[in-house]
Amino acid sequence: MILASNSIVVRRGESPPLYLPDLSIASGAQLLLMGPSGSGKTTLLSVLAGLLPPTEGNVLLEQQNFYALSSVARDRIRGKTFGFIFQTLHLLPSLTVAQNVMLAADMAKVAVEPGRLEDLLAKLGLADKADRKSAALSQGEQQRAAIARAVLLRPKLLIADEPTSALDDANTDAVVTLLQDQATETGAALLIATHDARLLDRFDTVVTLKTQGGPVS
Amino acid sequence: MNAVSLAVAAIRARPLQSALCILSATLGSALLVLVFLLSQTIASGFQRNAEGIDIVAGAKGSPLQLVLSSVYHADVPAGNIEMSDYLALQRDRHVRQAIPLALGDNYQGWRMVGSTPDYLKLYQAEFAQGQVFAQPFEAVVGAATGMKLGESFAARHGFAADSNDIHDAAMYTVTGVLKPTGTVLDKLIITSMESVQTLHSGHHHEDHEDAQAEGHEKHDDHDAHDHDEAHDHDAHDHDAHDHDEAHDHDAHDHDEAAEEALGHQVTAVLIKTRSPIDRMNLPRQINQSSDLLAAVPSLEMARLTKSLGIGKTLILALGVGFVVLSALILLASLASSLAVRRYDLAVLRVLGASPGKLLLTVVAEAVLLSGVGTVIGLAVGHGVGYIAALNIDTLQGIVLPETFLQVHVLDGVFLLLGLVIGITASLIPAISAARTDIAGLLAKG
Repeated sequence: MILASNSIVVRRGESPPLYLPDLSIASGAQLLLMGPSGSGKTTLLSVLAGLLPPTEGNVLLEQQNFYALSSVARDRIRGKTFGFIFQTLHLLPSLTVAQNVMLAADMAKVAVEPGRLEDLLAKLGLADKADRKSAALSQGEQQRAAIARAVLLRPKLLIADEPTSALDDANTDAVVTLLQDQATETGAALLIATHDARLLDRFDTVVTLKTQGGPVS
Repeated sequence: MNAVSLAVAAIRARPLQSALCILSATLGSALLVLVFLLSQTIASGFQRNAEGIDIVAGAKGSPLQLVLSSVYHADVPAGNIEMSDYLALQRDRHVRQAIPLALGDNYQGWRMVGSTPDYLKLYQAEFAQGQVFAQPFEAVVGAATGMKLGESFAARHGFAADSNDIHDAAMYTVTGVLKPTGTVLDKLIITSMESVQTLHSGHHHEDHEDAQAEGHEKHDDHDAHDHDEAHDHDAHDHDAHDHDEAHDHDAHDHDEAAEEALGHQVTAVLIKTRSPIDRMNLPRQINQSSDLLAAVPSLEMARLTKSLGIGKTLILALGVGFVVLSALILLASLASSLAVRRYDLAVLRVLGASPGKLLLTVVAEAVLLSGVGTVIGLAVGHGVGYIAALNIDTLQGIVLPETFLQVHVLDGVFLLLGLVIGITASLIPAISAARTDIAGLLAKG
């Protein structure tokens, strides 16, 4: 078991408490987290990633209580262990594609083996775009660059938040395939949070969140 | 990609805003360093020029005028004093050294000073070429005059280069060229007092009637007035008593009488006293007991500097204003850029950057902008000072232009100040960047 959450409850400000389902993700597993907007998918991802200490419950990362660590230690572990892909991509527009991808290594303070960056960019069809500013890329290219950054360090867990919400069927299919292939290739577990029903038949394991933050049955 | 290269990328991503930040820091620091450097080099120039001169004695008038005219050669003297007064001062037991100055002639605008070799020693002058004047009508020239060894020239009466009153009865010869001293000496032509006196007493003697005849109309602008006709000095057309009419006396009435008087008078005496107590008492003693005026250069210049200080304060206030403005511009620019880059920062956190790293990135951006701006500003301040020292007449001989090209301890102080201000301005945006609610941001999409 690489990651597990137990009885997570999050209270933020005035809003009602959010009761989040227990998850357990085995090494190399592929998992879909389904739920409509506002059901707490991103909040759950934040908690799992060590970014948001839950009000109650705990997260076990490789059998260790993640939130027992200091926030700086969690930052460091997150950089090495997780790969993230966001809904709106979030490449830094002022940096080149190569710099954006290498950010994963720079921020986690991890060295990558020589040729890793080039191989990855070539595999994702970005070899000739390496030195372009990411703002100059097409939407599809940016998505692939974001995936490259997420898998650069061969994370144990690849997490994607609504990766397909803005894509047509063909592209949705392509991206999910790419994510699944990359996860398999790097040996990462894959967790996709989405409200996109098109993804349902691509995953064997589906966890569903309900609209109101009540406990999941 | 460390904090610094991230900051560089952020700066380059917004060239206009970044340039504005740098420019405002440049303006502020340039103004500040220029004013400080100018006032400091002027003050030290005043001091350097007056080194070894405790007291100046001269004709009654304004003490400041006496000091300016005889120490800094920046004003015209009020009048002359008798040789006997000088000799009496020389004998005074409170006086260690009395150096006479006979002023009143120039060559191409370079003032001629009749004095003794002691005057050169006062400024620790060294010869680039030649040697000190020994015979009458030998002269030593300052480095800035550009005159050559062996050059022969005729003095003109007065302090302006366009004087038509040429003393060419005797021609001076340059026997020595001085090395630059960074003092007013660089702009002077120094000769023996006897040379000046001989020149003027000759004038006095030969041209006596002339002077009297002309006395009442010497200020009239009778251009065509030709003295050579009235007086039959045909043998030599333009000699010592050649009085062409465009008699260009400075505002300061150096009339015939005064001109001739130089034959037996001196303009001022530079005095070094025997003890500090003498330095305090002697001026009062001279002022009370003789027709002379005694002034203390350091006091007069302190008074002058103080009255100029108001201007300095105003410019300094302007400089401080620019610095404050640049801090505000920096703050506004960082805040607005962070508003745009909040997601970027969130991404960095997700990728493993600690809040401290985000803080460092923002601070590094501010440090780079204010640091680059300050360094450019310091260079501009030095450059403007150098150009001013080269081109503003009043500063020459008081300020050494080269001092503006040297790195000054003030530069370090201002650079530090610029960085501290930059860091201070960045603290609020930096802390807010470090505290970014990542989960909240990500939840919003």
